[in-house]
Amino acid sequence: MNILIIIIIIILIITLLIYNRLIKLRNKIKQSESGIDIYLNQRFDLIPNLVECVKGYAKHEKEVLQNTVSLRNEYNKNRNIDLKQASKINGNINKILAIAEGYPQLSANEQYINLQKNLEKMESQLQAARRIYNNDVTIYNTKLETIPINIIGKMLGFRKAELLQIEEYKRENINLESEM
Amino acid sequence: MKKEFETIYQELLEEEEIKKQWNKYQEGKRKLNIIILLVIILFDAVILWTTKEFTSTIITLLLIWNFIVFIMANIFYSKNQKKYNHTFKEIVIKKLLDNFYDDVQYYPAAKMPYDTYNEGDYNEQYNKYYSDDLFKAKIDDKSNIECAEIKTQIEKKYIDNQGRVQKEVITIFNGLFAKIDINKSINTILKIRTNWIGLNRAKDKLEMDSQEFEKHFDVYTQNNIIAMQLLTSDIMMKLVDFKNNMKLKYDIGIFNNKIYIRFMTGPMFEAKISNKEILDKKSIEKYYKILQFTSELAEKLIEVIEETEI
Repeated sequence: MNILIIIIIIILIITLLIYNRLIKLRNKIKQSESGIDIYLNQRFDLIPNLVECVKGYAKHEKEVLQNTVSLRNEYNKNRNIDLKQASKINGNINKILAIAEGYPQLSANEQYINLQKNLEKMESQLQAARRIYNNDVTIYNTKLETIPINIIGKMLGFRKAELLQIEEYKRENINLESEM
Repeated sequence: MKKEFETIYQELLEEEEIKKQWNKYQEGKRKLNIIILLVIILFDAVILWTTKEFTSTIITLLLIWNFIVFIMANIFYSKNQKKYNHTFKEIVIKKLLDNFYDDVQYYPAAKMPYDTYNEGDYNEQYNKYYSDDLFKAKIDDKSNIECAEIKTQIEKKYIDNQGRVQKEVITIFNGLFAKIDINKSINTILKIRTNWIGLNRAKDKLEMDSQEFEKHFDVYTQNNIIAMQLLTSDIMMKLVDFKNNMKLKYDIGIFNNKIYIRFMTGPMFEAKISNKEILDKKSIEKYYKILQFTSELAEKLIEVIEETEI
């Protein structure tokens, strides 16, 4: 009887330790996710200025510009972090920057140059934040797959987290390059 | 244009001064060996012939005498070696430095101030500090580099079982230390430390997204984003490759606008004299690779820091 009680206590302690560890790792993911959100928001705050700056030169690209503004407004209304939606907007910003390269007068505009610099800085920070996020997710998922954490984790309702995939516009670029 | 190791080595073998010093050293060594042997044989023979007995006192006396002769011989050997070492540094090390850096000023006997070494923040205690082989130069004609061999030790005193005070000297670090000035500050601290297998790894380290890199290094920083921006996958790969190829432990620190690198190499820039080769190829190649890595890594880091909007 005594042995049974000891075994139950040991199992409880192990479960508790695993639970705490998984919670810690999950919170780390949430923290890095909110890091991405901060950089995304900083980047998205520059959209009105970017659109204002580009629209005078790139009149044929109205659709992309309007689409970006409406996507951003939608994103701002939503209080939860939607990384897929954000990734779409981010892709649009990069598309606008690529379009702008075709307009030499715009590329020489001082306001545009400053905007571009800020956007590139934020893109680089965003990439770093994404790497941190994906790294945290990998650590969490790996932990969740090891024995006995996989059994206890499942029982406690822990699910695998999703890695951030490469953005669509980048995939397009890669495809173009490989076709060439 | 930086020369390959083989080219430099072949050029060094052609150096007349090196050949002259090596021949002189070998000649001196041969003469010294003969003299030592003669002195020992003659003295031992004279003693044994005059006393004509093998008592323990005589044997002890002979052993002491032979020991004194060996010590004297060693003093002569090291004097001879010092001359060769001096030439080696002036010609070989200077040539290696000139290959990787601009405006090189090399002072084989000069020290790196210990304050500069402490700036690297290695969190180690020592009460003995030695340094030599200081050189100052420029990387790509832009960034200043200061580098030297450093040895730090801690001398501890303790009382043994018989109540006598004993001294114990433990070497904390012995190797090459470099400080590089950069034009731009990263406004934070980034430390890349070789991890020691078997020891508990600190919890405040930043997890990096390269398993291979994680196996070898621990990263500490106040700003995870900047650390990730600077430690690109090709920089991480470069660090791992060098560690695997050289089997050498090393630490890197970027503190605002300064880069500190130290290699746990043991004594650096010393001549290894072999009887077969005029110049010991293996040791010179090691010095070449460490200098090459320091210069290339510094160039790469400076480039990444300059490109990154901080």
